[in-house]
Amino acid sequence: MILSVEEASAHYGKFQALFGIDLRVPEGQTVAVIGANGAGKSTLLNMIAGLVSPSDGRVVFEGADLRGVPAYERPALGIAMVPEGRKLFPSLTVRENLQIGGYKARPGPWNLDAVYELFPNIARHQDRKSGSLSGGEAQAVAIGRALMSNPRLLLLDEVSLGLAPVVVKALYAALADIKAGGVTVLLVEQDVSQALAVADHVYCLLEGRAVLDGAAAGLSMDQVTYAYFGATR
Amino acid sequence: MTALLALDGLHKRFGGVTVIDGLSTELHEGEVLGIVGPNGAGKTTLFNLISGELAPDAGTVTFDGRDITAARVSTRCRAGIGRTHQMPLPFSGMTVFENVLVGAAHGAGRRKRAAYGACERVLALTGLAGRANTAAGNLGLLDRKRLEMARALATEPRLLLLDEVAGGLTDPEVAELVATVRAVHNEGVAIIWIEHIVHALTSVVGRLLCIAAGRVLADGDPVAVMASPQVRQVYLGNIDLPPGPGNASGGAGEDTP
Amino acid sequence: MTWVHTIVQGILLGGYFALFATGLSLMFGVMRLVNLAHGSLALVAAFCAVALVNATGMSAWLTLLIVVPAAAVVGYVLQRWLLNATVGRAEVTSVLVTFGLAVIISNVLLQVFSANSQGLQAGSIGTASVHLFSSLYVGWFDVVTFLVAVAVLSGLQFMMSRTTTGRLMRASSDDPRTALLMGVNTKRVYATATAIAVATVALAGIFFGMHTQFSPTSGNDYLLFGFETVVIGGLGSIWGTLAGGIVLGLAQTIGAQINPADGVLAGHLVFLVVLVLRPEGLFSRGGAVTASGLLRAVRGIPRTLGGFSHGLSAGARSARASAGRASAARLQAHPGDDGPVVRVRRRGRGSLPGGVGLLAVVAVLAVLPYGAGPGVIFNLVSMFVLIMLASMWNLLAGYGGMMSIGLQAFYGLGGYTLLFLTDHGVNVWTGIPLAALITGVIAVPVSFLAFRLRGGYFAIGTWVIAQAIYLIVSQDGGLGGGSGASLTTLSGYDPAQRQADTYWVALAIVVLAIGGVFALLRSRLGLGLTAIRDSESAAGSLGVRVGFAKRVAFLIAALGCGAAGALTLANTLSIAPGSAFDVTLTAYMIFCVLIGGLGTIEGPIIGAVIFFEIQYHYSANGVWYLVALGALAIVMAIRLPQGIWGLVTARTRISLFPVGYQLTTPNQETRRSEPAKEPAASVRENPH
Repeated sequence: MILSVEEASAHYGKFQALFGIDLRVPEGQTVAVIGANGAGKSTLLNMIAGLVSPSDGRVVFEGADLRGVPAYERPALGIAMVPEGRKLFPSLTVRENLQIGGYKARPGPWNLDAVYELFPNIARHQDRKSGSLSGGEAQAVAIGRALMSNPRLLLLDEVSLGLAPVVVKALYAALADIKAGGVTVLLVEQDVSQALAVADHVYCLLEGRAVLDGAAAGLSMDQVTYAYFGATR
Repeated sequence: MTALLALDGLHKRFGGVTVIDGLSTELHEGEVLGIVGPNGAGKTTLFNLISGELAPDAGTVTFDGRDITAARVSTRCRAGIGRTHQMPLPFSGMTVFENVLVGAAHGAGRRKRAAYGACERVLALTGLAGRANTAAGNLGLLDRKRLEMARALATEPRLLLLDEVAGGLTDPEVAELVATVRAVHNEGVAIIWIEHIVHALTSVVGRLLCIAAGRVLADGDPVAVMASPQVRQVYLGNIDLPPGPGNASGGAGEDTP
Repeated sequence: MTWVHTIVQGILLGGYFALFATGLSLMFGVMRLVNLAHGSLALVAAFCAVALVNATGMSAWLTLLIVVPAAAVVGYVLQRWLLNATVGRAEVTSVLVTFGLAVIISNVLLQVFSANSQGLQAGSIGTASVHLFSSLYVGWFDVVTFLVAVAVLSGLQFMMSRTTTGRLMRASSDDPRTALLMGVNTKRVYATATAIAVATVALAGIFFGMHTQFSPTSGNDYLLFGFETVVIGGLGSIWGTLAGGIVLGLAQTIGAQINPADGVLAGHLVFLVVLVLRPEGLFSRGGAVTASGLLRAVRGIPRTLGGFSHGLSAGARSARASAGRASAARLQAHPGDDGPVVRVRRRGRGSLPGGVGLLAVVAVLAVLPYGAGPGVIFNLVSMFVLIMLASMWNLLAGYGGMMSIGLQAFYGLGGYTLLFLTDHGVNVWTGIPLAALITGVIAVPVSFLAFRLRGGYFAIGTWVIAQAIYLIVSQDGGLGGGSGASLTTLSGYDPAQRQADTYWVALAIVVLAIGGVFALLRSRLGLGLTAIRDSESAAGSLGVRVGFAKRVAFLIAALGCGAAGALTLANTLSIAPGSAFDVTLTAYMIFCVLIGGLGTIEGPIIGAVIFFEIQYHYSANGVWYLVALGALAIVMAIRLPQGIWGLVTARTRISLFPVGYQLTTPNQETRRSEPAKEPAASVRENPH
């Protein structure tokens, strides 16, 4: 188990976003977290990445409790995140964005060349300011940026956000190459079928609670829809 | 009958990303329109273009026959467009009543007694009557959302934009919200409601718009729109899962769409 | 030939300004931090160099090797230990904290080095000149400085665009949260940026010290020049800083060529022109660092005027709008509704006994001249003036969300207008309110200028405007020029009677002023202002005419400060530009409001009374009490922005000047519940 979230809760001021979440990510597998907007998926990832502290429970990575470890020390441990909405640095070029991803790089196969090989369409934009890229290109850069630190655990937050289905398919196809390198992936996704297609294990969150937890292969559409949209329909 | 609100060819880009891509639609007086669509589809940006917080790169916004594309936010509010925000921004140093009073006094231009009466009524409608003298900064998230709605209602809008007001509510609370929206509608106010909790929408709206990639994907009867394969695709992706063990029982009273 | 010389001199002078402005621009670019202590830090470096020279006899050039690295360390520590606490908070906080720092530094310098001018010897280079062509000679030193400026800017450009550190800075500036995800320790990045900024400004300070004499009070000028350079050149553009410096340098030298006393003024005027025509600067990039939320887009004067007249015709328009909407359905109380009667109580807790108490105080004050000595009366007038000034600053900053460091402009204008009026036969007592009114009128065009800036830049911009007015006034011989003038029309009066009359007029005016502010804040416009205080954008989306409301707040503040200035002249009988337009007045206003509490009516009054007492008892201790106040201001801004009155209301919920509305229908809690746990929003939320 490379990551285990144990009965973790999270608050934003008085608002409770997560209620005692239990989540396990086995090494080398792909775990997907799905759920409607506001379900707490991003909060969960932010908690693992260190931007939010659990108000209760704990996050354990490779056997070590991450309490007290600030966000900026986590890439060195092997946790890298592709944030929701890409969040590229607009005043940096594509190459510079990737280089920053490698600021605290661990040893490993991922470097600029490897990233360009994975996403050939961004290589020709190397020196462009990242603010001028299309959505799909920006997402590729964001993923590449996270890979540059050679993470053990890659967190993907809503890769499909605002992108055309064909672009999303291409990005997820690249995921296979990433996994082949031994990276464990925890992804949050709004596009349920895409998530189910790549994940080994699925959690569904509804308003801060985990309402579904099972192997992707065994789930039915009904179960997913029920969990996704809530009690009444 | 001329439309109350007409959006024509709206375009909006942020850097290299086109968020609204040639969107056009109309809304008539007293109509209730629901808007659904995946995250990042441009729904809140659309609201920002209507309320004036953003200016479009191209296209026009016409309200009540007047082109308001260049008008300021406060001007549009006084003309009759009210909105709630996804992230409530209460006036935290003022009480709930005073918060609502700002809307009544400035947005609706009411004075003294009339303003107080209007505020009291709006507070009752949104369930905040018992918290009128609480400092807005001390409210929990739920009450803040109610306050957002109350403030917008106090400006006596002819068009009310509701931005994901049902999020985080329990079922009874959603039912209460739906009743409130119905009551507002009965006063003749036109409403556009962005929502993820689809079942809340479908019980109130007469028409549903699905927006994806900054464009209108589907527009029409709520049930028909939600059932259309294109709409299901943008939400749930390609539906090709095998029916699993849980299917045969039909779930706990669930309909298989 | 002289013109060619002037132009070359101007360009070279630009080198000094660019060197100064570099650090200011860097800190703002990376951290959105407006560092008002920037000029003072340059001074510290220069004074340290002086101390080193005096102690060891080393050459001034050698001091660079010691002072500049030391400055880098100071900058790093400053950011890490103090300024990082202000990053991400409301911009007001960093402005207040750095302002407090500037006050501390300049007063410590004053204490240690006295007010005498100092200079650094540049050695033989200082006097050597280089022959350019025909009869044109320029100083070697100026050329060297220019080259150093270009070198520093090039180095900065290189660092920002080519090195990892620069990349980290740009990323931290774009999006600190995501930078954290990349493993970037943003706190350290900010500290590094400040270290570089302070090092460059130390360099600039020493060079400037070798060029001109300086004294502990020069810090303000340095800051203004640096600020003007940045704004003229354009935010976020490194080479724009050089260009801005050159433009300013040219303005000053050409201005001085036209009239020797007008150099600095010409610079201010050019700055103001750029502000009107192109507030984003002459060479701005329009990139992410240009802080689109900070500078208002160029709207053009006709549009701005249109906006103002729009506000004036607001009444007519809203009546039309209401009539137009009468036909459409609305959410309103129907006639014949049997709902509960709505009662709204405008009285606050304790406001009735409080109000009675206040009236009693005023009554006692009114009869005081019959018993108390002239010294007491004189001091009380000063205190009334302080109360007015603090209340006006609070109205502008605490309710309008606009922090200004330039209200002394209206204070001085009020005094000088009174002087002008009395010189032309107007009776003093009539003259005081008239002077206030005229000042209010002058504030109208000023507001159009000032409103082109926002946040920390608005704060400094109003200071520049104040300086420009100061310079213009101090050149007017008719008003006494630089040495000031006296109020002669009162010389025939019996002194005791004059004092008493002045006192009563002052009392009446301060009561009127507070009463006026109270009435304003109780009104609908006041409700809008309070909403703007808490969230300007939300206020706009609820229909509040934000621009109009802020302008009204500005005009009233100007009027009040004008009255204060006129009163001071009547009380002290003399006025001089240096003291009438002294920025220390704003420092006092800020102290009062910080002590008493921002965003309430009672706060500034209490703060003013306390501050006055402190000043009265401790000003004999030299400037140390100002240092202590500066430190107090910093602590209060960070830890206790709601001030003393804020503490009182948190515990007791008393309000002496009730401006709120309480609903008192049945089933209602009739007690006003606990005030918000978050402090007054103007120090919590980002203004603009």
